[in-house]
Amino acid sequence: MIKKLLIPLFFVLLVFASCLKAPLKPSWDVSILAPLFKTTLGIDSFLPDSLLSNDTNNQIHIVYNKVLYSYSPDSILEVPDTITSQVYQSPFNLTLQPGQLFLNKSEQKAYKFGDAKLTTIKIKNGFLKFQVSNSVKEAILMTYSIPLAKKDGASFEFTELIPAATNVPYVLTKKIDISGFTLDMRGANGLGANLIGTNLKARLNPNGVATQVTPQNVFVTNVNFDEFVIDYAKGYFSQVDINLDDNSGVGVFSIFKSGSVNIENLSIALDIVNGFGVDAQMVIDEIASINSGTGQSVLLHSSILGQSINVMRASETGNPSDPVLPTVYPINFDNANIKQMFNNMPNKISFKIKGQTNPMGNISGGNDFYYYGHGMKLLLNLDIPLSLKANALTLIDTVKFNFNNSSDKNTITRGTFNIIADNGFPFDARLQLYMIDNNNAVVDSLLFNNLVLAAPLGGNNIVSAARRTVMNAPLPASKLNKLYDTKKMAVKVIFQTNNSQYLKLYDFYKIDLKLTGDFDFSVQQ
Amino acid sequence: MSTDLKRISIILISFISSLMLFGQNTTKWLYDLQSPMIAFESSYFLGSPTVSNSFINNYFKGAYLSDDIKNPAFKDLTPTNVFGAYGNFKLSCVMPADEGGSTVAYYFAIENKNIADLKFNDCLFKMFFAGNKQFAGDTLFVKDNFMSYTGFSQLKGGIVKQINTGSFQHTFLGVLSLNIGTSQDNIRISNAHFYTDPEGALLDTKLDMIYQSVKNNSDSKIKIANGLGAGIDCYYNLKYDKGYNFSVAFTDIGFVRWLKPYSDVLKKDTAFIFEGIEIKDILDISASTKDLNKDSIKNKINKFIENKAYTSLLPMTMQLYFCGELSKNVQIGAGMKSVFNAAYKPYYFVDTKINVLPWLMISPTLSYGGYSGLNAGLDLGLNIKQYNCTIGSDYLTPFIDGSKFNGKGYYFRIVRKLGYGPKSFESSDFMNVSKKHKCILNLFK
Repeated sequence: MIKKLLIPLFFVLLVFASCLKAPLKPSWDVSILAPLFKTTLGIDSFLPDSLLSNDTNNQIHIVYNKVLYSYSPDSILEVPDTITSQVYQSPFNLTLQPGQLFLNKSEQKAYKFGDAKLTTIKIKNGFLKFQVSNSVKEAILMTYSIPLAKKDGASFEFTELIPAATNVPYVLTKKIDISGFTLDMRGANGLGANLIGTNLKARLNPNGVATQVTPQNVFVTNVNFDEFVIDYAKGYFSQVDINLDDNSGVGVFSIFKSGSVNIENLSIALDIVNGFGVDAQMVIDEIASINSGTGQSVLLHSSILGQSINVMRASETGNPSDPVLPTVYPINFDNANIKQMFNNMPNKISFKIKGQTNPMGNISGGNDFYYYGHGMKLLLNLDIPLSLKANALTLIDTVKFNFNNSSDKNTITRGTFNIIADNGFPFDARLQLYMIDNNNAVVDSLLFNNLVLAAPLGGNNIVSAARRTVMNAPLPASKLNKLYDTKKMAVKVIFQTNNSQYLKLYDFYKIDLKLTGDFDFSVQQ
Repeated sequence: MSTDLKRISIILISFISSLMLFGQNTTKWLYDLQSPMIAFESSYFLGSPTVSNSFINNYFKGAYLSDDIKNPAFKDLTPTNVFGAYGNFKLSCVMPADEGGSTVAYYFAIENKNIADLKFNDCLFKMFFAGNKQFAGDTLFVKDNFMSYTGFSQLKGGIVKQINTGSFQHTFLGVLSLNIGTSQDNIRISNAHFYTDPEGALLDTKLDMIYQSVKNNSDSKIKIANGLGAGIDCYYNLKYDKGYNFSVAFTDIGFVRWLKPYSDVLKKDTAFIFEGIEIKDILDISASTKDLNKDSIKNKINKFIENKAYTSLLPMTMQLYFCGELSKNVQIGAGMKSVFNAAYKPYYFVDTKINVLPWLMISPTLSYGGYSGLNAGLDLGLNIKQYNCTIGSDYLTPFIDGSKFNGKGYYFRIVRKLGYGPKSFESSDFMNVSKKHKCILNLFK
């Protein structure tokens, strides 16, 4: 009976427990004022640290070093592909005994390294690639050696058992690493150049059986250099013409999309750095700055143009870790129109240079040299102390943006973005944000209603205190919906200076930006 | 099934169907141990002394809380406010230990209680419902605020002992309960401040809080046993044959141990200044906005949450009631109720019971305290054969003037008497069970 009573009682208990009233979902509006983002922008926010430098007065300089052209050794030192190609064919039927030597070929050949006459090469990286074909019905033991290729005092030697042919010749392909070997290419008498001596031996497999060889049986050996990189070369590198007609990208002004800048001063140096052990003579015919955006080019006007420049060879230090002391030939552009060239805000520098190596012939007595990584370079060194006038100088960049929060999508009913700018720059700036959707189309913009005012200058023309500007950009419902679909935001900042004077920029100039949101949310519980 | 059990079943079904009826918070209806009986009662309350009924009604109806609703509510707030809500159900029975002359009876009950208990200051309330913009430039201080919701069921069993000494009759009740915790959410902020910069450039926050939550995410269809505990109830009644009656009761002296699989605890004493997500690289804002993602914030908070068992005390209740007869049909009483471990303020009341007719009783009530202020209410009692039915509310005044009186509650109770007592509102002596109900008595043997 108790059981009968307890069952309904337990049932009642369950009903009680399940009768917990689920709360309904009231909604209400709240006004939230909260910071969203903050950031501090200095010059280093727009330009990489590698481009910036401070002088003793903490004035910022843009220091731009760019290799405009690098003259590689490939232009002078061409490495041959094949060094050995041997074919053995028996003139009549004969029976070879196990271990019987049937080929022993030594040869010394002169190879072509462009027009250079090389006496020594050290191989940084490289392989000897063997391709051996055996149509004999027994394996053949092959030994290949280069007596004057040495590493740690030992000559290069390679021995391989080439398996016997079946119905078709057996073809073996193998790559042997020769990195670190030094090739003495003076030949057997030590007086030549470009000479490589090799020896190829072939004998029947010593552990095999006596085998008849007919004239149809062929043993072919081909040896090539592969993936060859020279670590060091010595000899006479000959006379090679230099003809450069090229251009090189200059990224330093690329962040400015429009407007103009007037730079107070800058210095430019074009250095020819010769790490080769060869002399050279060069003539700079033309240098120009090109702004692809505006289509404007400004040619350099300088007395250096058209003049022969003799670039002396580098010298060897004898220090294996830093073996070359390059020759640096600075080209002086004093009195040139350099400022105009860079006020053009170029994105390219074009140049036409011609010249010749070893213009006086083999005056080194075959002691030209090359060390890996030490070629001939044309270096641009630009130093712009940031003292400028900006006229609607516009910086635009596109940043990824993700405001999407699907669960909250419809909760913001009104909003305003506020920017609190503590501007430590002596520039006025106008800020505008463009909303870009998935299709890279600009769907709307957020324009902040007033200027970020320039910080006032003290008596020494240095900003003494930042100036605060509070700006807002209202977000009506129409813009809110677009903001949720925004995938990128184009940030456009337009700088304007008082054009009566140049303004120096210091490393302590910063602008603190805080983005706050003043939103009305519809909260649903 | 016997006829009696059929009747019990009918009563049970009628009780179940009436579960959505809510009863008044009435402390004057203490234990009725004078008669063998089966009773069902339910009570429901929702209110705050300072938050208007209009606001609460709209909130719980799931309405849109417009400024027209919120602003009057904001005006009525005091520096410290409380809010409470509960919905309780109880099925009980009292049966004598034997069929004649016994002074001992058994007491059994099944109860289900759901209690929301909040204490908050006005600024926190305003910030929750209107946002922080109104506090720009100000610091909001929060001290000893809490929000607690607890749901639990109880299986109770006890013994009633009656002692007669001349003109006095003493009735004692001791009850042991098995507490089955179903749900809990508990946030206690012992100390906090919140500063909003006038331009919203920073939020300065200090927060010393504990958060405890019970959620059963298991696949089980019945998710009611998320915690287990025990408790005791004590009751004493003194009846004087000159018509005076005094009762004191302590209920829910106990605890629930919330079980580890379902309970999470976050205890945090932290201070931080938020000035927005710091963008180190202006050219990659998206990496920063990921931190504002709601899931991301949730994940960060989840790192601090510990899945562990914890114990919470039940809101212990003390009730006192004294009444005396002014005449044969008029009784006047006064009492109080206090709840410990809760924001509930001491609740005082006076009531009068008037037996207008042998089958009709009315009981006007005047009360103050608890989760509301001053209120007047009325109970109606019907006595039909062996059934006593009472329905009423202590909170009728808010219907008259919702701007001055707060609180909303109803009470419902139905009693099936099983003894020989008179067919009236008076209790019969529980030592005498009617013959036709002796079979029920046999259930307990």
